[in-house]
Amino acid sequence: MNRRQFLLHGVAAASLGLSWKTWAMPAPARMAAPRLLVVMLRGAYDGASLLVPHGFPFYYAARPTIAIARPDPANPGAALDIGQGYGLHPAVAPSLHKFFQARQAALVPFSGSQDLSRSHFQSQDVMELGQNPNDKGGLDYASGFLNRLVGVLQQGGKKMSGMSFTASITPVFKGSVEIPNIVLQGQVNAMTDTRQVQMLETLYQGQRMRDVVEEGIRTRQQVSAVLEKEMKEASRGAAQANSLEKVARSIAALMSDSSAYSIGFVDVGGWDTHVNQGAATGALATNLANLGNGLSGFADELGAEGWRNTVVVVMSEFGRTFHENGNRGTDHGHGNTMWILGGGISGGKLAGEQTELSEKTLFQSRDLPLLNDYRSVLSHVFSRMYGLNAGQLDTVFPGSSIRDYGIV
Amino acid sequence: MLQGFNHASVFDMKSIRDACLHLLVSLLFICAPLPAQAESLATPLNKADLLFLNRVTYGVNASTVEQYKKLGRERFLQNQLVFRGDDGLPAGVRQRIADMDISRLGPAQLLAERHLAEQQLKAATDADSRGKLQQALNQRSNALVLQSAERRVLRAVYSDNQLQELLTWFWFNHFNVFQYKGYDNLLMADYEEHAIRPHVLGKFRDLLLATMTHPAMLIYLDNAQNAAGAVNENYAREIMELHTLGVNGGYTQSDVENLARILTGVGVDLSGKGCRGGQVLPGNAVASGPEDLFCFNPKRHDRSAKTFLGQDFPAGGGADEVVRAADLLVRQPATARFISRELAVYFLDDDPPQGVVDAMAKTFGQSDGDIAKTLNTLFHSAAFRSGKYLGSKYKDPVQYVLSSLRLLYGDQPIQDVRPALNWINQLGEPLYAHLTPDGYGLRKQDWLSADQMAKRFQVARAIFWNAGTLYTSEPLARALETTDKKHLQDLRNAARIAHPIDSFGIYDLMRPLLSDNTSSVLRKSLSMDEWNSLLLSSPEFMYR
Repeated sequence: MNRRQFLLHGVAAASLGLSWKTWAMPAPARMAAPRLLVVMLRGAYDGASLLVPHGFPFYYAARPTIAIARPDPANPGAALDIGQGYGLHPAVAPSLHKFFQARQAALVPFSGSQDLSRSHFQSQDVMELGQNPNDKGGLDYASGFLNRLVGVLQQGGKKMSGMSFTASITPVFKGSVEIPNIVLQGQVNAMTDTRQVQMLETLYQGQRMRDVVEEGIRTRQQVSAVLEKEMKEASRGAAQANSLEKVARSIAALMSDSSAYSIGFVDVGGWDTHVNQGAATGALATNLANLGNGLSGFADELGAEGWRNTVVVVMSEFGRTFHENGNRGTDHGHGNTMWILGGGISGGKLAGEQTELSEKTLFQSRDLPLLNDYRSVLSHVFSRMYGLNAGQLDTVFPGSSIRDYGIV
Repeated sequence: MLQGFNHASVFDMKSIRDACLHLLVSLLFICAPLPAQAESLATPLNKADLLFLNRVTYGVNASTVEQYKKLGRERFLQNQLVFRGDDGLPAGVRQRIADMDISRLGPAQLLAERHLAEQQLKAATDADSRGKLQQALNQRSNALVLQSAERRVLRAVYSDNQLQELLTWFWFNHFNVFQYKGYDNLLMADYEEHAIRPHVLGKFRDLLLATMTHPAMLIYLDNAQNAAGAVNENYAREIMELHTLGVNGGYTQSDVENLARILTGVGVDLSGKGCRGGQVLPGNAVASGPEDLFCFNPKRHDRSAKTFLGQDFPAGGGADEVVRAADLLVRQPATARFISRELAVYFLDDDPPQGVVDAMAKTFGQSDGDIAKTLNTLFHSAAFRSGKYLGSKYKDPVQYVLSSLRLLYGDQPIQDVRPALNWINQLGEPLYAHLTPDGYGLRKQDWLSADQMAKRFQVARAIFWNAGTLYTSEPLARALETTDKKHLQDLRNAARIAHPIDSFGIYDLMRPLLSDNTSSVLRKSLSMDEWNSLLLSSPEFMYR
C-alpha cells in the first residue's frame, strides 16, 4: 500500500466513524498489578516536530526552516517513517521509535484539552484538574484527576497509592486523598535521628499540618531505603545518564517496590520554543532525546514483567502553531499529540480521530485542530487498566465521552 | 548559679546568660533549658504587634523590634512605605555591596568583557585551552549571578527598610526573568537594580515601562527578535496575562497579535556600539534600561494600522505606540484589580476578601497606579487591622530561610551567604532561576507539601549548625576550599564559638507567638542546638 492509500484510508475511517465502539459494559481490568506514570511536558511541546506529517506537503510549506526532512535512510536528520504519511523525530530513534516498532507505544494526534486561553498556566491547571469543561461552575482547584483516580481505586478496595515526583503538589494530585511528594534530583536523606522525629511529631500533634508532616517524614524514610537498595543493585556499569534518565530510573525503582507507589506524576519543563527551536538538531531535539531516553531508562529499570503492567502517558497543555513564526520557532497553539506507552498495550499505531492537514483544516487558521479530548483518551486508558465502571469513570472525568481508542 | 535563677533580678539574669553563652560548647546541658523557663529581659511586643511585623518584614529581629517600639505602628509603617535604597544597611554591608563587580561594572561593560572572552574562545586552537576558556566564562556568569543573590540576601536580612526588600522580591517575581536565557546572566543584576528596585514603591506605569525597555526582559521573552514580518507573540501575551490584565482580564487573541505588532522593533543592540539607527522611547523619562543596550529600531517596526483593546492605532506609528499601549494597559480596571489582588495575596491572605481588593483597585486607579498608596489602603483596611488574617500565611522558602537568618543571625552580618542560598535552593525557590514568566506561587498550596516540610526540618538543623560557615569570610573560604580544608574547618569552628546564638533574646522575641504545646516541647530540649532547630521547625515559625 502506498502512502496515498494510507491517507485516504485514514481519512475515510475517521469521517465514517468506523473505528468507534461505544461500550455497553465496563471492560474487565487487563493488568494484574497496574502502574501508571503521567508525564506532563510544561511549556507546550511542539507535537508537529515529534509526529512529523511528512506526507502532507502543507507541512513543508508552513515550516520552511524548522520542518523535519522526509524519511530518507541516507539522512540521519530525516523523519523515521511510521506509515500513514507520518514519521517520528530522529531524536527519538533509540527510544520512542523502538517502543513504537515493538507495539509498545501509541500516539494520539489532534488531542488535548478544550481550553482556549493559550495561557500556559491556565491550560496546565485545566488539564491537570481534568474537570468537565461544560460545567459552568468554574474550576475547582482542590480536585485533580489523579487524586480522584486514586480515590475511586482505594474506595474500590484496591491497594493503590499516589506519589508526585515534583517539588509541590500540583493541581493533578490536589484533592481529598493525602498524596506525598518527593524531589529525586539530588540526595534523598532519611531522617535518622529518632529523637528528632519524635519531637517533631509532638510539635505538630493536634495541628492541621500533622498529616503532611508525618507523610513527609515517612516518605523520606521509605524513599531513601528503596533508592539505597536500588543504588547498590544498579551499579552494573550503566552509562552516565542525563539527569532526567536518572530521575526516571529512580521513579521506576520506587514504583516497582511492592510496598510503594503505583500511580505517579512527574513534570518536565523547557518546551516553550518561541525562538530557534531547531529541527533535526537543536533545543527541541535535545529535549525530545532526553525525554525518550528517560522513558527507555524507566522501562529498562522496571524490567519486562513490570513494564508489561505499566502505562506511561505523556501530555502537554496545548500544541503550538502549525506555521512557524518569524523567529524559527512556534507560538501557542491548540491540538497536540499525546503518547501512550507500556509493555502490555496495543501500540504501534496512531489512535483516535484524524484529519488531513491543510490550511483549511487548521483551527482558527493557525493551530492543529482538537479531535480527541484528552479526557476521553485517558478515560479509555484508565478504564481498561483498572476495569473502572461508568460511575467511577464519571468521578475521575465527569461528563467525559467514552470511546474505544484501542490502545489498552 | 542555677539555684538562684528563678528569683534572679534582671541584672543577675544577664550575667547568668552571659556565663551560659560563654560556656555554650561545654555546658550545653546545663544552660540549654534556660530559654524556655526564663523570665523576659526586655519588654516583649505583644502578639498582635509581632504578627504585624512578621507580615510587613522578612521576620522579626531585635533591631526591627526596637525601631517599632520607638516609632509606633503608624510611623513605622509610613517609614516603610518610602523607598530608601541602601540607607538602612549597616555601613559594612553597604560597602560589601559597593565593592561587588555588579555594582562597579554596568551591563555594557560586562557585555564587552563577555564579547572579548567569546572572541578568545573562538580563536583558541586546541581543545584544552578552549575548555579552560569556556570554564572561565561559565564561572564568570555564575559569579555575577551569585553576587546578585548575595546582594539580595544581605539587603533582605540586614536592611531596616524591610518592606522595600520584600517588594523587590515580589516585583522581580511578578516581572520574572531567567538567568539562563541568552545573556541574561550578565543583565540580571542591572535589571533588579534599575528596572525593578527604584519603582517597588513608586508608580506601576514606571515599573512596567522600565521592564518593557530592559534588555533582560526583551531577551527573556523573545521580543528582541520581534520584528515586522517576523512577529513573535510571546512577550505580548505575557504582558497582558501575567504583568497587567491577568488571564481573565478581557483581552482576546486578536489583542495578543496586535500588541505583538505594536512591540515590533522594541529590542536590544548588544553590539556595544550603541543603538544604531534606533531611538529610546519618546517621553519615557523612566527608561532605565541601559540605553546603549535597549534599542527601538523603527525599521523593524510594523507601521500598519492596528486595533488594540478597542483603540485604533493608525498606520504610520512608531515608538509612540509602545508608550501608548503601556498607558492603555495600566489604565484598564482589570489591571488595577489584578495587581491589587496579587499584592493582597502576598500581604493579606491566599484568598483575600473582595472588598479589600476593590478598595485597593480604587486607590490604584485614582493614584495613577501608585504602589505605596495602594499598599497603604491595604494596611489600613479593616480586614488587615483586625489581625484575623495575620499569622496564617505559609512562608515560601525564601521567607522561611531569610526569617530564620534574621532571627538567629540578625545582629551581625554574615560573611558567607552561600549556605543560605543553598538552603533556599534545596527548598525549591532558587533566586533568578524560575524558568517560566509566571514567577513563583504566592500561596500555601504552592509550597506546603510533605517533601517541603521534611526538608525544612533538615534545613532548620543546618541553619543552626552552620554558624561557623556563615561567619567565615567568603573570599577566604573560597581560597581555602581547594588549598587547606583543615585550616578552613578550624576557622569555621572558631567562628562558630565567636558568634554564639542569643537563644534568650530569640525566646524573648518569639514567646508571645508560641503555643503551649510548642513551649512544652521546647522545654524538653537537651541542648541549645536542639532548642533552636525545634523552634525553627515549629508550626508557628512556618507562618507569617
